[in-house]
Amino acid sequence: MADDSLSSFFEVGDGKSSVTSGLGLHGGQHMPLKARAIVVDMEEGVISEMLKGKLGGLFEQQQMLSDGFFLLHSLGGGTGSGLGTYLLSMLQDEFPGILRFACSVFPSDDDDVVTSPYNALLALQQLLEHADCVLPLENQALQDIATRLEAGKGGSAGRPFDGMNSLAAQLLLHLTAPMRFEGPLNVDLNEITTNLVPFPRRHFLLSGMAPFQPPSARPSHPGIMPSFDQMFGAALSRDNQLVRVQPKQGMYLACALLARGNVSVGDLNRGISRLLPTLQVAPWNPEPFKLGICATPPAGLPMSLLSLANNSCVGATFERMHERFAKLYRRRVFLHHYVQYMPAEDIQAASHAVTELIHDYSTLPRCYLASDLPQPKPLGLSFL
Amino acid sequence: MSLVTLQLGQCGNQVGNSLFNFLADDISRQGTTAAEDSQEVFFRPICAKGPGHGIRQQARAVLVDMEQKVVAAALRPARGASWAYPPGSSLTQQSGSGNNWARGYFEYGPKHTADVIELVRRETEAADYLGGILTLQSAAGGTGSGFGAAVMEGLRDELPSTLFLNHCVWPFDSGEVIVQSYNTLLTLQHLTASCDAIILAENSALHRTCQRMLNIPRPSLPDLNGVIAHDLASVLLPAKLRGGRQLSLLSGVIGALGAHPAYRLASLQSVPQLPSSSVDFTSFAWPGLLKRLRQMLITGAYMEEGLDWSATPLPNEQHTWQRPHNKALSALLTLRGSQASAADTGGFADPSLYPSWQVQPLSVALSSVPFARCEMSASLLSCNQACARPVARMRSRATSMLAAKAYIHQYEAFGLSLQDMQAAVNCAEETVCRYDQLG
Repeated sequence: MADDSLSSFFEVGDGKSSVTSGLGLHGGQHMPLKARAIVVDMEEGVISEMLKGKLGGLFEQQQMLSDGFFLLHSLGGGTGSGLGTYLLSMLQDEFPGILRFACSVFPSDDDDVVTSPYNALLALQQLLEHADCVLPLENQALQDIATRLEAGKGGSAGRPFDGMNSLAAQLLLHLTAPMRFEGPLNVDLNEITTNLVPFPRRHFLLSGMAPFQPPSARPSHPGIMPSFDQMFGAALSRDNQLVRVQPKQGMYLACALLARGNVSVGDLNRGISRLLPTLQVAPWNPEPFKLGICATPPAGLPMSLLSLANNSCVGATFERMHERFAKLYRRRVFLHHYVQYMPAEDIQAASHAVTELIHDYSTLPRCYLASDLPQPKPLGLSFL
Repeated sequence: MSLVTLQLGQCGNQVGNSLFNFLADDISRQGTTAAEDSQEVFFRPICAKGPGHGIRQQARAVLVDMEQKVVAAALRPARGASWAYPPGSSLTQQSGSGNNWARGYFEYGPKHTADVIELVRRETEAADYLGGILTLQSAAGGTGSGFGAAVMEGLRDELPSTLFLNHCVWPFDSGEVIVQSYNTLLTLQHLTASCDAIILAENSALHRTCQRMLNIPRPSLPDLNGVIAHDLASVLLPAKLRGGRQLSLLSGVIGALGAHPAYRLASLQSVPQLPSSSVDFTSFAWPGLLKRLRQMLITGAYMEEGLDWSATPLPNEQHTWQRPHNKALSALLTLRGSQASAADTGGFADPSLYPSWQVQPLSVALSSVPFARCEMSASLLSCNQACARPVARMRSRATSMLAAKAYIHQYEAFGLSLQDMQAAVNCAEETVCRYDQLG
């Protein structure tokens, strides 16, 4: 059984490799595991550190492809945003039927890369066109949550990004849990796109989680565990979103609630019925919830809940991004670096595409009012 | 007489597993002769291999899912189980249908239907006398509903004279799946064309039953499946028609429903629903059970608690402003337990329960074998107006979603056009109107 769930993310090696990992327990004997991941960077530093680290043995030089792609990248830099999104378009050409998920870190307002507004905007346009589903993560939001967690724990001595990366990892672990474990109500990745993307361009999902685990928490120190209802409220609250937005002020087009642990459908429905009156939902979809339950809780916690929402408030994030871009672009600052590699019209086009997306999101609440919908007349059997 | 069960998708496989567990348990309590008859319907006896091997029978079932986990779990027999699924009667694929009906129907349908038909053929040929095929699925998902619809059409072509009874789990109103209104209407459109009868079981009704009747405060999906298993078994286990003829599956069951091509939807109600701990402390009497069951029919309720006792059937000719009661086109009443043949079923023979043009609406099936440890129990499979209520709700949901053209691109990607979707909505509308006109 371990083999089944492991094989979605790892490949079991042939035993000849010298590196072994503690994860590959198989009948008391260590089997070498290889992560099904492609690690890409244009400079050596980060990757060589990763390969040297504790889990370095998990990564192999050459890998097989399987079904579904996860792109983990940032939009601020060059490689992740440029090459990463280029890979997306290549994958779309090569494997058109296979799902492309992107987990994209959006730069914060005080990003240390001066050209990040350009990078982010250009990458965003690519994500808009070539990804099936994007989970935006905002550095600032991750930072806030990580600081809060560490404050609760009394300081930590990790590297600066450890806490933030751990949050992203928790998100991914939770999202992929149903593929790895059994549950009474399994939710595949392709179910997420089917249910949460009502219109093809609006595929940016706001993710929120509760509870978060501090990066270095041992399973023996789970902390104070909130009740299910507290957890439910927290997962949809502003503070626990991985993007800095106001979800309650936006309109929910669709929302997936994915629970792990000992949670029943009734619990989720109870949570929904309590929360629904406080949310704005699309009039054509008055109960926009997709439920999932995976019986296995995350390590060290009795249960956790992930909410993925297609909420119109992410438009505000794009608006902020576009403003920062426009500030530079108006004066053509740094533009010459880009014109070396791409025509200036493409940058203009990207700006247009993003403006259009922002417009899509901002007009959404007014778009489909119930009164505008044609009310069907009952046909009856008179025509028979 | 044997029945082959086809379990489709995550929901269908979980329900099927519950059904066979329930049957194996119930059959083990029956007397030898009755047990042999019942076993013949659902199981194939096998010789035990080796000492301590408790598996004595194999379920006559085919398991289909587009992902592996649920089927893999079902194929591992539980500790101490007396039955197992036959080896090699399952079909699984790597990735599911993603709640997309169009993907199940248009992508997996052409690829895998022939394989499923082959598995069903093998299972049907293993039966001495095939009574029909029972299919279990949900209406909302992708594999059970979309691929299921393709499989049913393939099977209908392959086995034109075999009877198909479909048990379809209807989703909660506040959705497990957001696109469920599209999926359910598409499913319904295709199933009504290819199945002889469709039993709709609403998750919300099952959930309430678990909470109120079975004293389960936080019902899980296996609890809900247990209620379905109880209901299905109550009508499918062997029984004799009043008058002495054996009720033959499924022709007897579907024949009793009238099998009118315009009225394929049916509902299944049973009494009593009791927590197993209180069965021993309950006293049973036929008049009380049947009175409650009759009121459930008149009010279109699934559960015997909270019944509206003020509703009374009015004679057909009499027109008043009183809200008309729930009318049935036809009904099959099954009584199991002591003195079943002596029970007075006159309340169900009341012509005002049925449309005036219906000649022989009621069939009564009897069995003296106690069911589900209850001294007496009764179930009613009927084609009545309440069956179309969930369809009406789903239709209005789908109409407004369709007006916003939401999610349509997901279906178009697999070849289902806006017109096809509109046709499904219209088909649901027609169904709702037809059932309305029974009144």
